[in-house]
Amino acid sequence: MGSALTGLRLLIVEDEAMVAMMIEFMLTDLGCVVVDVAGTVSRGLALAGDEALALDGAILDVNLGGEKVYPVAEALRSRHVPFIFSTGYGIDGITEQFAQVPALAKPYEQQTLENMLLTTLLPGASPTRDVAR
Amino acid sequence: MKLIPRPDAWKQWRPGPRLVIALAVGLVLVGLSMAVYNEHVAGGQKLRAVTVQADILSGSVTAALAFDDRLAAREYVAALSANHDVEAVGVYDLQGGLVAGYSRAGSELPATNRVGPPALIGDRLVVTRPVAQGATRLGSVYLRTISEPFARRAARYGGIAMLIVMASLVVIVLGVSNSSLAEAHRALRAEMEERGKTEEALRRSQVMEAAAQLSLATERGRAALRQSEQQLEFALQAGRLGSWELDLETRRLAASAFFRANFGFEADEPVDRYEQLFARVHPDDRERLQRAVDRAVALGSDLETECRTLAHDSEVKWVQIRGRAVYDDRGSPVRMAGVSLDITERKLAEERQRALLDELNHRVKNTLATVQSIAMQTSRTAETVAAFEGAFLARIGALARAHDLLTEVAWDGASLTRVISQTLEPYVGQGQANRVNLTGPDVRLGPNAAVTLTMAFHELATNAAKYGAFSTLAGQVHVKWDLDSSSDPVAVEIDWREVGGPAVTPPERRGFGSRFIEKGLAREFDGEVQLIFNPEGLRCRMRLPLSPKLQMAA
Repeated sequence: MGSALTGLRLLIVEDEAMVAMMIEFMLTDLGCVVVDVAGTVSRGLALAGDEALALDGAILDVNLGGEKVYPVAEALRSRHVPFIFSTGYGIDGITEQFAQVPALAKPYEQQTLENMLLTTLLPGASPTRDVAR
Repeated sequence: MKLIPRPDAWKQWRPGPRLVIALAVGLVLVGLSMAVYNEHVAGGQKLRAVTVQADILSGSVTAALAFDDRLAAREYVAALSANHDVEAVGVYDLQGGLVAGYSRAGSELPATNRVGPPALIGDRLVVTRPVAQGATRLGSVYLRTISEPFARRAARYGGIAMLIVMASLVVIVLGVSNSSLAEAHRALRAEMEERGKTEEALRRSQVMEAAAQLSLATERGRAALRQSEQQLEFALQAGRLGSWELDLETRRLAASAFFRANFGFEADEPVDRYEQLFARVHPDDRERLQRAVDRAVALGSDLETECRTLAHDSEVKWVQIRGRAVYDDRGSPVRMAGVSLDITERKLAEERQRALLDELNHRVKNTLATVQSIAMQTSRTAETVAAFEGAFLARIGALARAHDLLTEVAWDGASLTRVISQTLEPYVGQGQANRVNLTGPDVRLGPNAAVTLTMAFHELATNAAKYGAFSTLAGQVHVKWDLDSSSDPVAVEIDWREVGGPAVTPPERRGFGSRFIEKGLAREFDGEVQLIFNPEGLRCRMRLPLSPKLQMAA
């Protein structure tokens, strides 16, 4: 399936294996390359901080077994890697520092994920044009 | 108090019946005595009159006798006969022989006359007088008159007596009636006076009663007020309510001990200024508190607000403040009074509840995402709808059992042993308890870890039921785990080993189950998981580093 997102290299940070696999499944379906899946903040930080690892974007679960994902978000921001949040707590659960970051409320559909990735990772493109492609 | 004007004393005198009767009797007695006296006087007069007549006759006939002029004597006698009272009259010579005489029919003159004192014979008065010329006696006269008859006198006196008696009766009747009237009047007056006294007494007693009731009511009112104040004080104490009163003009504050404590003041610290109070309010809440107070004063509405207060040790308390302004006659606000309550506990409880609700919401959303994932991936790998349904429902069932386990421990530290035994339980038949062999120390799992491991063991068990140890009667599953303290990081090693099943060949393609175990599980725990398809039986080795979600039991 062709998409504007095809070939984009994405990182998933999600501590629930079943949910992580679904996101991976959806991203793969959209043509993205899932670079890695991190289940912990330390693993996520290691991957995000790895300058050698090429990243086009990331999907971050806010709460990882009681630990907040914000250090990973900061590392990505310092690398100018765009990312979106995926959270079961709702938008209010996100700290002020990242209040402008788009957030997906679990559970979400693949279409929602796709639209948000398009606007976040490819700000110049429009979903309509992409669909027409 | 003067009720009836008192009449003059004389008007008050009223004869009694006894006095009236006594008067009447006295009147009768006087009447009788007068009659007797009259009778007596009349007799004397009669005697004197007759004596004078006899003397006159005597004088008149002196010459006749001296001259023996019988004719003249007869004329004098005839003159006296004109008097109806005269019954008989005679002129006698010295010898006693009758010279001239007259007598009424049926009576007669005595033959001779002897001079003697007047005599009353029956009702006849007889008077004899001598006839003399100087010292020479010539003869005598005899005069007999008829006195009034007794019956006539009696009748007269009786009539008078009757008049007297009747007059007495009239006096008695009038007196008695007057007396009884007077008596009635007296009784009435007495009754009226009595009534007046009674009314006066009643009035006084009413006044006194009213005064007594007023004083009683006042006393009761005071007692009720005291009781009410005590009850209020008790209620304030029991409710740990502080009370306060603020003079809106002078901004002086009167505050109870609880109120002062609410704002973090020491028990002996003097607090009487609004500014002192305001300084203890959390800076972020001051503007809101002032707005609430101003609004309540302006609108006359209830003040009801909550604010944080700062104690000396900078401990933050939540205080609820309620109050209302009091206005004067012109409607200007004078003061404000109310209560305060330390609601820190409630606020903490609310925060806990809010956190719990958030957590619950989070878990529900995560669980829905998990279900979504299971549905999506099961549908991608199932070849038929029936296969999808079976696999999907079995996975949802495993998820539900993981939740049951977590609920038992209040979502805090499910046992690894319980996770495995519960997941394998449906595959262990009656009397086949030895098909499953679990050995290992107690390991505590966080909520996500418990769900993920449950799903992982569920996938292993369903695979064993399809192709492995649970597909034959003789097959067995051994699960051993232990802590590997030598590794870095320290990890729990779990070894799943199937024996006695059919010979195993590696699958041509990896399904959802094996991907979930090898990749999903490993990545979640940041560990390593290996599926080894030994011909004698499947083996799964997991190496999961200790973390907050995977800990050795204390």
